[in-house]
Amino acid sequence: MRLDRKFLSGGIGLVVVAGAIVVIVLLQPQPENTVTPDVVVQENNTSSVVVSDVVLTAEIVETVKELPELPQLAFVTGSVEEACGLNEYVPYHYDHTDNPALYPKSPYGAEGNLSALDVSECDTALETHIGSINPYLWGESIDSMSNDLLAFAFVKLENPLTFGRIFADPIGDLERVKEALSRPECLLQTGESNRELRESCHADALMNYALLNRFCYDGGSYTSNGVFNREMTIYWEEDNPTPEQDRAMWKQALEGQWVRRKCEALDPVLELTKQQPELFEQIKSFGDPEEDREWRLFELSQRHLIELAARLGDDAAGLTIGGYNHGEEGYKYGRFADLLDPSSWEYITLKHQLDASRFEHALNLLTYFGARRPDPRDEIEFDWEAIVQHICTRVYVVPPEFRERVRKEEGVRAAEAKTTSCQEFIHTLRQQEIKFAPLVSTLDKFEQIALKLNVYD
Amino acid sequence: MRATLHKLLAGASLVVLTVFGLTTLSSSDSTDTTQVWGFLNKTCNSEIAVLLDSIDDMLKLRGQEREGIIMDFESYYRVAELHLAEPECHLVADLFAEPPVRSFGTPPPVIWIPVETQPTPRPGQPGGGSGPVVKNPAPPKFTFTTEDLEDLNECVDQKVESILASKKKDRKTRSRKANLSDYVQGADSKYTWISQTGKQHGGYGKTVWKDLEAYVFPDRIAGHKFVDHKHLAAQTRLQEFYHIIQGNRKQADDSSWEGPKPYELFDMEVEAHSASVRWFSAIFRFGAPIADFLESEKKKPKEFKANKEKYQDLEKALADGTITEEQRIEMGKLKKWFEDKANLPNTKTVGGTYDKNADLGCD
Repeated sequence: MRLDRKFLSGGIGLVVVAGAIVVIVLLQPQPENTVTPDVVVQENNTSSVVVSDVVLTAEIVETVKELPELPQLAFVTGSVEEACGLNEYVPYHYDHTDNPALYPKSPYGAEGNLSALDVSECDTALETHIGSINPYLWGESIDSMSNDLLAFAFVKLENPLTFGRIFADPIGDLERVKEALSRPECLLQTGESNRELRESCHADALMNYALLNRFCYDGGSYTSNGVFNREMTIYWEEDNPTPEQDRAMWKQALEGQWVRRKCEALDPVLELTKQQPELFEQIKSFGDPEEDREWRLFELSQRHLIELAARLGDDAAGLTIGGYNHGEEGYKYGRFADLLDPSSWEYITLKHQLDASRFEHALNLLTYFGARRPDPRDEIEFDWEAIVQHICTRVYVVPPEFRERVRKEEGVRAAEAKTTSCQEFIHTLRQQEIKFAPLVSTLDKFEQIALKLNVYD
Repeated sequence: MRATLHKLLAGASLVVLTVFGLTTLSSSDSTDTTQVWGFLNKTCNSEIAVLLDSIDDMLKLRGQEREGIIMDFESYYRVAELHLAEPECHLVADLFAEPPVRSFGTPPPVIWIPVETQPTPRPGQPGGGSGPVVKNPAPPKFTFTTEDLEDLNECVDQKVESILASKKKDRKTRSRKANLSDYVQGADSKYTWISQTGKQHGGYGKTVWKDLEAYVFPDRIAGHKFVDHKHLAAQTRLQEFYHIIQGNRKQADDSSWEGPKPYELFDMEVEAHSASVRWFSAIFRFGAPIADFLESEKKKPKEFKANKEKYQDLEKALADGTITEEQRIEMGKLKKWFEDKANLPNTKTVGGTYDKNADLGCD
């Protein structure tokens, strides 16, 4: 079983999973007047007992697990896995903290720091790897990401949003943000948008600076930090993660720690809330005090910057739809407003009610929004592989523990979706003899990609 | 974004057009403002197809080069016609002939595919030779009599009453009650509901405040290929019901009121359609067939404010008796501007949370 959850990264995460493993053995039958302990699953996912006032007859036996051997995996030369020597690491869940002899088999040094990052090959590989990651999609999988993030997965941008973009010139971005916010024409009012100002008002710098603050600082609350909040995939120890899964967890830890270290090396003046009081005050004032009163100011300032960036034509900012972790709704102000409007977007992204009719309508929308336009700046380029993968992967990801809730909230159809296939949908449409050439073109493209990705049937 | 998406009127936009007697206008195609798909051959199936905001835009782009391709458009589809069973493939050459007289009403919301239509190449070969003509049967007739409409009204009224009287305190019930807080039960007590068959101008229904009549047009509803027609009838009924509430409100303030000012139409349409979407999901527990307005569609045209001020000045002059003949003409032009479908809010498409197979629970 694979579980996705928010998880402390880096050293903190290690501490959590490295708690002593205690095996509790109840040796004696329980007297009638004793209380049966409730077995609970704790944060570290080991079993323990809730001890009440009644004394239990139990013997606690501590065991130290032997170091298991993991098979060597074949990694691409220059990859993070290869450059950082992931094959040499102890299993992710193995507690090696009391055994200094095992430190070389861990990315952590004796000080608890991620010493693997001190190896230049590893650092370089991580810089390349993370530099290409979209911060909104960090740790996400196309199979399970929420609708609000799919916009980033489905739409290709001329100036893609990546950590590389954010870390390229942070001081320059701050200067450009200051300059833009000092010019009245860049301070668009609520409801206004003007993409012609994108260059002159440095829309991309507004977006970069907001995200730099999200990932490098926390506004005084570590739970507000973007590295902390990113999606991580943890495979429980008792589920016996495969070697690939085990190494992937170490890679996640390295990624998080690399970003933290990158942030620590930045000039402290970049921190908006503490080092830029005038700028912070100005950005806070962008919002409606009534509407925004419940937003924490740290997060609110990012939201304002990102939404202004969207008004000024930064396409990445225009793909933000709000959602679980982020409040910004830049989509309302950019050129993707109609595509990402729930009436369209839910048709394209919601899978649990998918049938031939809905599939057909989703293709219509994609044909329409992906159309060739007189002004190329109005065109939307889709990542068809991501779209096909999403639509044709029939799994509606509902963890068992939530199924009952989903059934109640979304109806029986959601939980018991029919297992149809894209092949079936496409076949149904072919039978309808569609003659509208742009739609036929979309259908052909869709079919070819589904076959290529092996998700056709 | 308003300019980039084509505009079509929601069903109830017809209300205002009809009430004000604006049913048919002469218009040259070349001044049309709705979107078109332009093609480089005469059969609307060239490999290159361009989505344009208007015929004017197509003509402007015609002959220009884009990525090494000369945009020599020879035929086009109107986006507004793509939901029809037999959308016409128009020839660009015809635009240079005598301008046709065109019916100008309230088209139904746009759906982008002609699923069962013209002869053309086999799937997968855009631009290929012509294939066998496949004539599909006409869409099934939607039988919906005035008696059916009355039954629907009764069902809706019962559902609303039951929701509002519910003692449940759960989140969903509270939400449904909140969404129905502006549903004035019995607001239509003086109105006659009519299901009128036959060809109608415009959308799916209309309300005539002066005559205390509210209509649903089943034949127009039957033309929509992507929704359950009874669902759409129910949403139309809700939208018209909201127009009745609007009329009642106005008449409560001014007993001589017979209809809105031209510049009030925009907001009334936004309000009525949004209410129909909200009520629909509260009453029937699934999304309305026709979606709520996009944010961009709620924005008024940029000339709106100035035109409203001009119109109000002219109203004053009219009331004062100081209006000149020239001003009367200008007032008429402004009235037409406010009533022009391009300047009114429009719905775009089927709702994202709509489920065609859901049951209204009104059988």
